[in-house]
Amino acid sequence: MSQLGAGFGSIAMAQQLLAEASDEHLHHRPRAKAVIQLIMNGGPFQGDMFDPKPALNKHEGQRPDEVDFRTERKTGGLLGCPFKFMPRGNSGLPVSELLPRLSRHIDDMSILRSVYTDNPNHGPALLMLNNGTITPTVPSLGSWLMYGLGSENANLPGYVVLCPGRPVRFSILWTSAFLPPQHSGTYVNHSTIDPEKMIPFLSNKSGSLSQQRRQLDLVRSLNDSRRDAKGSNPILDARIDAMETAFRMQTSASQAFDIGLETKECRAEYGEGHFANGCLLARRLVERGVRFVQVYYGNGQPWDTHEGHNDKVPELCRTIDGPIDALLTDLKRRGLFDDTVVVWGGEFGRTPVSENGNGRDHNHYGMTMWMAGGGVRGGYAHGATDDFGFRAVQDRVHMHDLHATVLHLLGIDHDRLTYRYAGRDFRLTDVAGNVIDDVIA
Amino acid sequence: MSLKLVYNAGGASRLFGMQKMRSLLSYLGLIVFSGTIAHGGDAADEGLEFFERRIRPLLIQHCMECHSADKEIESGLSLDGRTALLKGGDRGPAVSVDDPKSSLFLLAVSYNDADLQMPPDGKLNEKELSLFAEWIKMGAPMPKASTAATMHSEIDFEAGRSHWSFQPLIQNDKITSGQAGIGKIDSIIDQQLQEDGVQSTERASREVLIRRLSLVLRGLPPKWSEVRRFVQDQRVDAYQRLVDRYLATPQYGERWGRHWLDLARYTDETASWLKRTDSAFRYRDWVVNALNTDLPYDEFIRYQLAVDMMPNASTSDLAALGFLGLSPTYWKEPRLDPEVIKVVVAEEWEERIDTIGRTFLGMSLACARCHDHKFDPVTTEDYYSLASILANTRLVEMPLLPREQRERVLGVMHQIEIFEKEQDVLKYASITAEGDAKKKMTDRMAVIKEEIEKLKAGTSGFDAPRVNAVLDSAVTVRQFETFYTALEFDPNGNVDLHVQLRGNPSTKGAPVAKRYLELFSPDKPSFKQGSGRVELSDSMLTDSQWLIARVMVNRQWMHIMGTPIVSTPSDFGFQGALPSNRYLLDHLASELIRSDWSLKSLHRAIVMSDAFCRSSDVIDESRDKDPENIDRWRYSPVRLEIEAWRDAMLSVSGSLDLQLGGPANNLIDTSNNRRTLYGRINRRDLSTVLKLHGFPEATGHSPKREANVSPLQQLFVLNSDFVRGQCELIVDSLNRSLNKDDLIQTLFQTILCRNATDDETLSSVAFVEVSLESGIEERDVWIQFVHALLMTNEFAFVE
Repeated sequence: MSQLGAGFGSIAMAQQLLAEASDEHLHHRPRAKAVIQLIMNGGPFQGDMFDPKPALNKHEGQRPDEVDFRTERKTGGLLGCPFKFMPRGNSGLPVSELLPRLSRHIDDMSILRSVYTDNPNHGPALLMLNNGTITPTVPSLGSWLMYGLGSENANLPGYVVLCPGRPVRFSILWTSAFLPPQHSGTYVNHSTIDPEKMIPFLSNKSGSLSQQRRQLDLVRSLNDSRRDAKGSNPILDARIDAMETAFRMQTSASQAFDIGLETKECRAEYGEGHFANGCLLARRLVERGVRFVQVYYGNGQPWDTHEGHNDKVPELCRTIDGPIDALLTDLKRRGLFDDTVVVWGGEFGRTPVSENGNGRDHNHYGMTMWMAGGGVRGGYAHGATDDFGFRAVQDRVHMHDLHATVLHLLGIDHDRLTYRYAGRDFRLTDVAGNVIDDVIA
Repeated sequence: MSLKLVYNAGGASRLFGMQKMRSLLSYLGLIVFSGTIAHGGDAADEGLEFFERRIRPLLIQHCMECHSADKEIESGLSLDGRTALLKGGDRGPAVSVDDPKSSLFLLAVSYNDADLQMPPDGKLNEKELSLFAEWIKMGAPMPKASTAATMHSEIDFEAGRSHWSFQPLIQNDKITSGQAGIGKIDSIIDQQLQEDGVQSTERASREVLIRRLSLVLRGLPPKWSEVRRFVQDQRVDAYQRLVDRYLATPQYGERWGRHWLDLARYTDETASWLKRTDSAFRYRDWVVNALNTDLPYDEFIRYQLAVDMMPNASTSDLAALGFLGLSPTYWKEPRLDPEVIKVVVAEEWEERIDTIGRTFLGMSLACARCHDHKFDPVTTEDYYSLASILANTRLVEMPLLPREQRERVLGVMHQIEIFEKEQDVLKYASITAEGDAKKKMTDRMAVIKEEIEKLKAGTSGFDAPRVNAVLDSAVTVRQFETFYTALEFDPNGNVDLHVQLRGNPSTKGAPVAKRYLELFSPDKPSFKQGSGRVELSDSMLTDSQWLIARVMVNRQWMHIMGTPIVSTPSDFGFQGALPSNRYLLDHLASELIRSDWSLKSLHRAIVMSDAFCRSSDVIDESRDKDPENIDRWRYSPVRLEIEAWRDAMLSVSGSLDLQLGGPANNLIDTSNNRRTLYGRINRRDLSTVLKLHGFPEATGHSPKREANVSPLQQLFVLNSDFVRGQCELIVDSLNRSLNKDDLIQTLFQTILCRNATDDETLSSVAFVEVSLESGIEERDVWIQFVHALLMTNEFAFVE
């Protein structure tokens, strides 16, 4: 099926691992086909949600040696965590009271409690999360996936980035860098939910589809007569195909991006707000064969709670609890859950010690992320931070390991997905990365 | 196998999956290691590559002092080879092949066992640990008979220099030019065609030729009136006159300037933390002007690397320094540790060295940052010799003023910079300060502010326009306070750099001098003048001029003929492709040098060749023999880049504004009728229009555009206001009282620069009539017809 991925891959198709819609060209049997990544930009605090640290309250105000690493800003003593945890599901893993709905899925989730990254600034850390480096010169995870797998729906972009506004560093985070440009992410600002505003040039303001069809037929006949004289040419042919796809996309993308087509009940389940809409859009897209959808929580860095941390967290959690529950439930109901990897987390964690008395500073030494869905082990907590949740100490998971694991679940060996550029073969995980075997079901 | 070498060629494994070059490289024996490898096979080579790259340096740094026959063998454990490793020491085998995870070696370095912790002076970092784990998981590959203690990989420069692209230019004595008016280019190409028995196409029609020439040289299609004039021109030199005319138009420089800007990763907007960001366009305009005035290419290089140090340069030429002055910079958070910031600085050097190497030399020098280049004869010492030029060069917004005044203003700017740092430090400090201390700080900050204002006001020329440039100055990372780390610039200072082992700024190797690559300058003379930028460009142009010429003519050929002679335009090293016709490449290179590096002469010679003028028709037999058109038996259609395509639309609609130069503008704005060259390029956020059409990311050097096609791109063609607007302009300028056939003919002429065939006229008339019958307004029908012509492949390609 030459159409596969052709929409967004056409010319560089030869480079793709997947020539057709079978698994045999992958490195190994894939456990999932798509990825939804929920990005809590700004950086949530690990101790608030899935990694309870009673010692925080016990030693509030003190500054034990364990927390004496330098982060970015000046910090004081330990800041207590007022939120209660209780064991949930059959696994009995503790989840914060701030996430009552999401906690119902705990038996399907792997909580990575020992994630760490390289840099405590938003920009570099977001780059690390997306591109696997702190410098903005290499392709993003999504672009690697597109390069490796192509798209399953030639009528839609295969890699979509949803953000109701702009994350810090913006488009560098979904760049294809030196990979062929069609593999870069398609950024969609879903602060409006009108598909025509989300996708540039989606509809024609001046003519009907039937008239446009007639027009394309004329173009085709003009192209054909020229083609007869000059012979066929892959680039020329690709352009003809792409134009036809674009024509169809006017209808298909309008539908895919239109959450207004969902039932009232479904909309109510996801709830209101940008993040809810993002989750719902993600489901609609994955359902249609989009390979990779990223949903940024919000514009800028909403989780960046340098001040009044404990006051802000309940509201932040409230606005993700329902939507993520709805997303996971919806994926399960539609039989998509087993084919979709859901990844959740920020670009880094936050300090157990206080900043400005009641805030928390950036912390790249330790953070929590979780995964769920296709091929992911459920009801499992991986690794650990120290007593205060500051630093990952046991079974540490670097961002490279996370990337290796995501690629693995999609049937790709991160060591072998390479691209020759500037005299070197590059890969997403540079020379590092280990698949986290324990989180694989 | 008695070859000495071996693993450089093995290609780092997982990283380097390249099998192709192996045999070639092996034979060349480019890098000679002391050991030989008995066992072959890809996996083995991969493992060894990994060992060399990642593990050997770690062993040397952390282990060999106590566990090597050369030094000492503590606890009976030698790490001198795999056998020794498997045998182990007093405690048993260091590595277990059956159960790698439980290897004693890993236990020791993990520090998990209180009795066995290695190395004794401190636990390794996570990255190092994971490298060891990975290595042991692979079965601990090591070269059989070598001791790990020595890391000298001695590059065999003589063998390296024998690589074709580093050799003097050659010519084929069998080919003589001047026979029956056939130029040398065609003689060489014809020879190849003859050898391969491939038949070439006839000369293209004049309609096709003028459109091709116009698009290639000016990036614009010809007007129909020009086409007619050329078609009717009976003079024997009609074509040559056309070529000369196009070469002399200012649009030529705009077209070719953009090709250069891809290499220079040009951006209109520099990082937000730099001071001013509004003068980048002066570099773009300088490039355009340099090409229009045919500044010799050797000077073109010198100006861009070091014009500020050249005594005779004019003030306006300072803009040339934008090549370096607009380099990407990465954020240096003042509150981070200096060691972290040093890494950021090292990353910046790497990008700059990469861009210099690939742009001018077609070499990927950045590979030598952490280890001697795996494939090309470039040492780590070479790399840091170049880095030390950059360590003594800073980015600056330089005032466009005569030298004396300029230096005065630069002096004041430096003073202000010092004040501003103090201010910054106070700002951070005052956050936590209280009472008197805080007041003192606030007062001081006010004083500084005043001083700065005074300095600015009291310096004539301070407000002069500036350019993104570079300037000699020692650049160091300094921790001013525990909470404030920043770059420090010393205009009179000098930084002596050391090799940074494994690319890590905190592990110092041998000191290095500022100098050029040993490959080209075997005597390794050190540079004496300041940062050495002038001497660098001189050395490049004397010691590696053949390579420089080859790399440049290959790019020019690519832009004119659609595909390059060497298919890796920025890699002429051992991993790069071989030229499809070396005689051709070398002939062009020697012509470039012979013509005193005149690019216009080169362009003239290429477009005057028969090869350029051939029709793009397909001869089945030739296609079967040479489907890729490597022999140039026809002119292969070339997709227009976004610039030429958008400009072509503006041109055929008659709305193109040909004003030259100036600040960038917004491409999304539909009233923007200027050439696409002037559309704003933001390295951080490329405009949608550019992004959709395969415009390269401006974060790094881009050797060639990929002709990409995507549906999102075609949505722009189908539905954008821009395209629609051009259609309306075209239709509204028509005299619609003419009959349909004439209107259709006029539109074919205007848009496709040719007459419609009978068939095309028929289907066009049919479209118009059916549309009218369906009740669409007449003007709209014509707009849709024009739109269809703009959508054709023919309009988007050079035929």
